[in-house]
Amino acid sequence: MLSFVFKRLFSAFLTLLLVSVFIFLLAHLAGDPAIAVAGKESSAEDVERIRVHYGFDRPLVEQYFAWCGRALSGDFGRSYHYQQTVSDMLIARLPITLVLGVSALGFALLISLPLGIFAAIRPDSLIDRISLFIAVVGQAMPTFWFALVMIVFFGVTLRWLPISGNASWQNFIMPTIALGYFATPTLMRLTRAGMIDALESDYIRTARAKGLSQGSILFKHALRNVMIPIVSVSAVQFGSMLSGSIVIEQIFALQGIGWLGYDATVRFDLPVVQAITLVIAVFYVFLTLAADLLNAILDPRIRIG
Amino acid sequence: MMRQPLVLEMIPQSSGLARRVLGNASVLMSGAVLTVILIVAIAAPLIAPHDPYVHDLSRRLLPPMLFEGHNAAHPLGTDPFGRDYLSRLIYGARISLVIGFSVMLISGFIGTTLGLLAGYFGGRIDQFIMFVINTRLALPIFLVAMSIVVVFGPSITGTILTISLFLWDRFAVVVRSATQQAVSQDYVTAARSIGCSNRYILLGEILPNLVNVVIVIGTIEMAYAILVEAALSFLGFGVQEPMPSWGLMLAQARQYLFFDSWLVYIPGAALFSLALAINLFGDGLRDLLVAGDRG
Repeated sequence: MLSFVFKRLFSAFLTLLLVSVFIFLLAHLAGDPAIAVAGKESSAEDVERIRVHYGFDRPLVEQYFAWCGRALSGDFGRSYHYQQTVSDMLIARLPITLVLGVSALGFALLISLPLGIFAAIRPDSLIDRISLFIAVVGQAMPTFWFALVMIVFFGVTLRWLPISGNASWQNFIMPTIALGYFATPTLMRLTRAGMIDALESDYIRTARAKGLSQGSILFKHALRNVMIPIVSVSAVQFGSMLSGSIVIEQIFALQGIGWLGYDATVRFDLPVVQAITLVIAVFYVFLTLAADLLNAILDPRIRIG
Repeated sequence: MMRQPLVLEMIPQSSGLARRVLGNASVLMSGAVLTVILIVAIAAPLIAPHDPYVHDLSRRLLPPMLFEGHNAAHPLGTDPFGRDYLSRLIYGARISLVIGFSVMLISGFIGTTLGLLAGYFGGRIDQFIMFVINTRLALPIFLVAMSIVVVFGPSITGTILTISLFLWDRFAVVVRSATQQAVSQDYVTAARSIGCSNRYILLGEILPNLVNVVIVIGTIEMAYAILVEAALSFLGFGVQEPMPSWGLMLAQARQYLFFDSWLVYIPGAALFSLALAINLFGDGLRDLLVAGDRG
């Protein structure tokens, strides 16, 4: 187990290293960052002063290690546009995105687990067909269009829900549904396929032969096995929802890190873009790491094999 | 391990999605819809009733058919610049199809190559490629794509390359595990024992056996690429005005949400139908090609 943990930790570390190099280089592909900060109309002296001030005149490798060192201690520099440190901006925005991500994942699981389980118990039943329909439609649905249609329907026509901002919990309902629906098809298909496999397996036949109740068979025995891939995929989906939150937060003017990321990209506010990209990547790497470790605890075959 | 579910999702099931919904008619129906869209896209100059780029400010925001005050010359109405909505929709199909297809080819090439190498050679090469895949998955697609567009400036080629950079992972993951299965099979062992080169075994023996799998992933990824392009264009970081990308049409319709919501429905419905048709076609193909191989 210990060697598995170390191996997994090491690969997570390497992934983050490569991600950080990529993010760092992206900023420098942009041509001269000093000109980007100073603005195109600035004089040569101003550009030169900024170059020295931000350390853009140093060798790239030195800049990279300096940037990494500061990022590790939570210092992402100052925003070029707002007179604030990037970490203050992140701390203010991150909770909103995390609330959105967690509620969207919760929404997706709330839909996909029951439907997937029922569909597996009675294949080809009405519920199976309905869940299939939800999955097929969800896979082809442009998330941002779904969000716009919801705004027209629930916001403009019915006036049930606020369409922008993050003043109250009601502002989170439509973004949660839009983002959660995006994750639903994968989770539902996975639940259904996993449950069908489990229900056909020998240990379930044994459980039935022992005369266990249907509820105990389904939830104690079959579902437990399905949870392993679901935990993994949920971690991956949470990561892609953080990425997708950029589109959704922009539409609903929900001012989390996705909204901030859009705003910063438009303004070419590099330290902010770099920090948000890095934060989302760190979340993804740690969530998948946590899911793998959790699965290794649940399933001994993983940590040995 | 964390990759396993994705693979699992792609492994053909004996009763495929589409077959259970519509029976075998699914491939036919989605295929017919796709053919119509393809013909419309190719023949756009012949079919489109108006020039999609000509502004006519005296005819701004005309409503579509069945709405009060519509104009028979503009069956789907006109956009905020007075351009014929149907003509823009027809030309927009070209953009979606060209970008979707190009991204599928490029990302399919990258992903299949990496997957073949990782699955065949294993060991350190496999570890390295898995590590590249993990890095790609950790990067937030929209944020990085938007930054790349800011750096290099927006263009259709740029949009295609940027999206391709992000969508090869599923090809790589599935081809890798399919190659791992193939390596242990008799025909590969036989090819090795008679001294075939690695290059020949990979390209001449294993790859032809994976063609069906790659085609099936390709259709699904093409639909996804079309949705990603639309989202990027919607955000203003993809195809630019005056090109009639469906995502861009939605972005322009956004401020008319309150009074002219049909502006939002039409391009979105087109986008959804195209993605749905491609997905159903892919699901049907999976039943026909991949499941058929196994049975």
